[in-house]
Amino acid sequence: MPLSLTLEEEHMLSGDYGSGVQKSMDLLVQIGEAFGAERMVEISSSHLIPYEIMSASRFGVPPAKWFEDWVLEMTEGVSSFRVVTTINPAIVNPQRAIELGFKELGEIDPTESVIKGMEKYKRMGAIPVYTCCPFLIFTPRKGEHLGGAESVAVAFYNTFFGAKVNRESGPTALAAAVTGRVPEFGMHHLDSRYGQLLVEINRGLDSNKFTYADYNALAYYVGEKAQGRIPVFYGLSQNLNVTQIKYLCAPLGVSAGLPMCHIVGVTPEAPTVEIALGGRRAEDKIEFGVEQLQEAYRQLTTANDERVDAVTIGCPHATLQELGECAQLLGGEKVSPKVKLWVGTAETIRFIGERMGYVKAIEDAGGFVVTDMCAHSYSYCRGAFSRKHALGTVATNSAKAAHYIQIIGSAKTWFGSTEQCIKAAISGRWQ
Amino acid sequence: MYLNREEKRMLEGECGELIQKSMDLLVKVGEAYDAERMIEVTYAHLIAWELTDILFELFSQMTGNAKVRIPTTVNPLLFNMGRAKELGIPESSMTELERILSRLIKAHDKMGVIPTYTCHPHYIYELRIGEHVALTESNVVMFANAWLGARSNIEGAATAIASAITGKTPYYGLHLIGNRYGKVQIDIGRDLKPDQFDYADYGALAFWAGKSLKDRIPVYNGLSRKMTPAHAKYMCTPQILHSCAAMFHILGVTPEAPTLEATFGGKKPEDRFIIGKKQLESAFETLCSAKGREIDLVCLGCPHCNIQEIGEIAQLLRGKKVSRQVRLWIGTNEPTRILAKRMGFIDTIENAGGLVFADMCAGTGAALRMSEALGIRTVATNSATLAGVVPIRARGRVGVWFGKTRVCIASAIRGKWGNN
Amino acid sequence: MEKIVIKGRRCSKGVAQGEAVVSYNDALAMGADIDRETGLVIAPRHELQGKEVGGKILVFPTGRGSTADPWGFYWLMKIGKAPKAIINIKANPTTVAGAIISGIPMIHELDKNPLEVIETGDIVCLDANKGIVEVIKVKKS
Repeated sequence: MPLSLTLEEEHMLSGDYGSGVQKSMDLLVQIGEAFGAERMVEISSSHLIPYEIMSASRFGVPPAKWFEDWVLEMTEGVSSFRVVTTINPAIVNPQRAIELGFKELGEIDPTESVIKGMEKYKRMGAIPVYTCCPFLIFTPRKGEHLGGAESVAVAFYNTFFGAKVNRESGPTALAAAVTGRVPEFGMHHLDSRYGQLLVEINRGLDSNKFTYADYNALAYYVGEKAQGRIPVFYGLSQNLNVTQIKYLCAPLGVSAGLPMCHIVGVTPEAPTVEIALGGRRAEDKIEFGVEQLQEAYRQLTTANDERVDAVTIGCPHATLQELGECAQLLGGEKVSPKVKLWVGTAETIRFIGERMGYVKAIEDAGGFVVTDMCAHSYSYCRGAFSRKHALGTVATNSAKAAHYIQIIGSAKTWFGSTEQCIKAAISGRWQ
Repeated sequence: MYLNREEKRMLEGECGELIQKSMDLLVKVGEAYDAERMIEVTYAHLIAWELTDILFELFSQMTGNAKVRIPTTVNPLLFNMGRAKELGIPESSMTELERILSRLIKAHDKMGVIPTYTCHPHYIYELRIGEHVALTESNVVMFANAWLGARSNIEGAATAIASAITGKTPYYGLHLIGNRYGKVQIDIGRDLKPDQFDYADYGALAFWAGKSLKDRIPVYNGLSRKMTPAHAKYMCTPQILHSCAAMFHILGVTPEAPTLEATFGGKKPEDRFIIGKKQLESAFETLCSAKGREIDLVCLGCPHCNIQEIGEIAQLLRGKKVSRQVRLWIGTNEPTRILAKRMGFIDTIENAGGLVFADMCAGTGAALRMSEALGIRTVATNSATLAGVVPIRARGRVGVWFGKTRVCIASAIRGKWGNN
Repeated sequence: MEKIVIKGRRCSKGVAQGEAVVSYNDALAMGADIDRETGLVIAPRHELQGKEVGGKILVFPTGRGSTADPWGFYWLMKIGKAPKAIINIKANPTTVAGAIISGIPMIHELDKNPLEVIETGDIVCLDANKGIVEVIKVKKS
């Protein structure tokens, strides 16, 4: 069945609203046709990834201009986005770029591009949240159709809220914000949302005692084995909080590009295993026990030297609860002068962390609570940052950060609990 | 009432006197409602409204040096003392206000309460569908129940504190799914255009409905599927001004209202009303209590505005100026204010002569309590909450003009109520 | 020479012709897995590690990568190191988005598994608009 458009959508595609809308619609329609969508669906929000993330690479000629031009093309004639539009973190918070060591990295200075991009999005009405956790600000309804990129945001929207969003990409998220549409396939269909892979938490593991790192490891392991099948987690605590669910969602997008998961008894589409599976048999089953947990930890750990050069917390962006925990774990001690401690969060969380004294506790200790930027954005600099600042080994409690730090950040990783990470920040050594 | 081991220990004082007192209160409430047991709650919301010495004394007795066991947020303060001058608080009142507010702030900080100071705290703690929580402040409770699908009774200040300290609440009322079904159907008349409803329309709708509900939960049939959380926000407190139904359903929109049948729990509605143009207009009229058209204050953001609302207000004010005789106050929470500042909305609004305040209750709090000191006799608002509360809290002192957002802004510019 | 025709669904418009490079087992991220200076596959332990994809008809099971990946693909195209076309068994939307904005033809959901038909070195003619792939076998099966 070919993709049929409404009259309004026909107008968009034929250029009646300008060439930006036309190109954006064309991109979305082609994708829809590639995946057998029969129509477009109206969305209420889209989450963008700023293109400046590409300009931080070590490539000699700054490619920022290519992406600036591309964005201009896709937004030609568009004065404002059609839906509530939020944005992912920038590669660096321009106000703290020097303090954090981002200037003078050689060929790259992303700040100018970042500022330009920020202005452009603001002019078009995007809400400058600059966080990978826009769900801390924008809460969709169950069943609401959304557009957007950033796998964390997508997975959380689908999993926690039962909203409907595909794991899109930077270009389509922009096109979606411009047109207010996405093609109706994948997660927008109830039938594609059912779980296929049952993940049973072995009774040998007490998930009530799980640290954030354990949740990360669980999701990372499952993601690696999932082969595109949506996992149904069975046997986890029924009282999971936002921070824990966030850490279950984030690694899914890394190893497997999974758009969601089900947590039985917790998430809205999984009151029971049967409902989560859509009344079908699971295609496969994973028994997750101590052995599997340890294997995941091994995969996420590439360091062999005890020395730690940096500690990264807040991938995805830390919740208020996590800021408090970091402050408490520091317990008045100082971060080793040889270690960079970064805690990444959203500005709208930082301010309340300031009110509660958490930010002061972390920064007085010598750590940085960074906002509006990715907690490990130094890894996007593909080695330039790591070389310049001698970041040989990074400790983190985040599977996603560990993965990216290893693969594109050219650093080794220690992976473990928040407590281990903070201790390492203080002593400069991993224990 | 069944208590588990931990709850028994709490009640018998083994966790300290403060927890014992709180548990005692909760058990008594539970017994009054025939609750079969206690349940755990994962989040609480308090109102920092113990303004008098007597109330603060009671509050201190209940809380002592106890810490909250669960994430707990708090309602706006009466005033944002950091902006006292802009608010026009007379010098003579400042010391006293400073005294009563700073002791409340300190007390809540000591307890470990998250200093959100907003009646729309949901940004700090995402609620899951079905999550059991203990909230006070009717608009917070109802939004959580209706829009988010979480489960809370309308707690009083004392029981909310008790729940925050113990992490428990008795299992009664809206914690039980059987009590959450709709009982009354409210059809939106065909002479209305719900797609074009303003925040005032939603508020007036709920206000009108509330008069016929008593304790029965309404199911709205015919509202726009594109309605936003902000729209739903305005439907909360007005419903409860004349009823005690702490929840509502919007067919096809809210999480517990997928179909009429499911929403009514398989039963027929006990009652059915149509609200059409006439009824809505009548609600608007009832909510207006002012005599003359001269206005002193235009108050928006009751409940606290979200970023879209502030953007809309900025758009209406762009290039215009608020009349010198009128104050324009817009209430919001701090993270929204931060975003609004970034988006240039605050500058636009303040250049026009308006003020955006965070952390305080601009409407039912500041405007009404300090009306004499601030010279406020007539308030214009798009909030059916504020308009509905004025005759209750400020009868004879303050009159209200109630209308759509753009009429409120146009009036702020003219200095008189009415559209251009 | 043996010629095989397989039909599939268009992901991204266009026609192309060239030499095939095939990954039988490993998914590929056009952005993250390919070096944007050399155009070589840099993903560690990847079947195609060290191989050049520029100017080839690239055949692999499915894509992977972050949601920023399409821009990496676009970058590759801008420096002239992008493949001429892509054939997947079942595409990942991020690969498709990258192919569309880069103007690289792409096909998936073919009536025969392309990994069973195409070998590295075969000549492939592809018309994505019509959904047709013609494979000219170079090696003897």
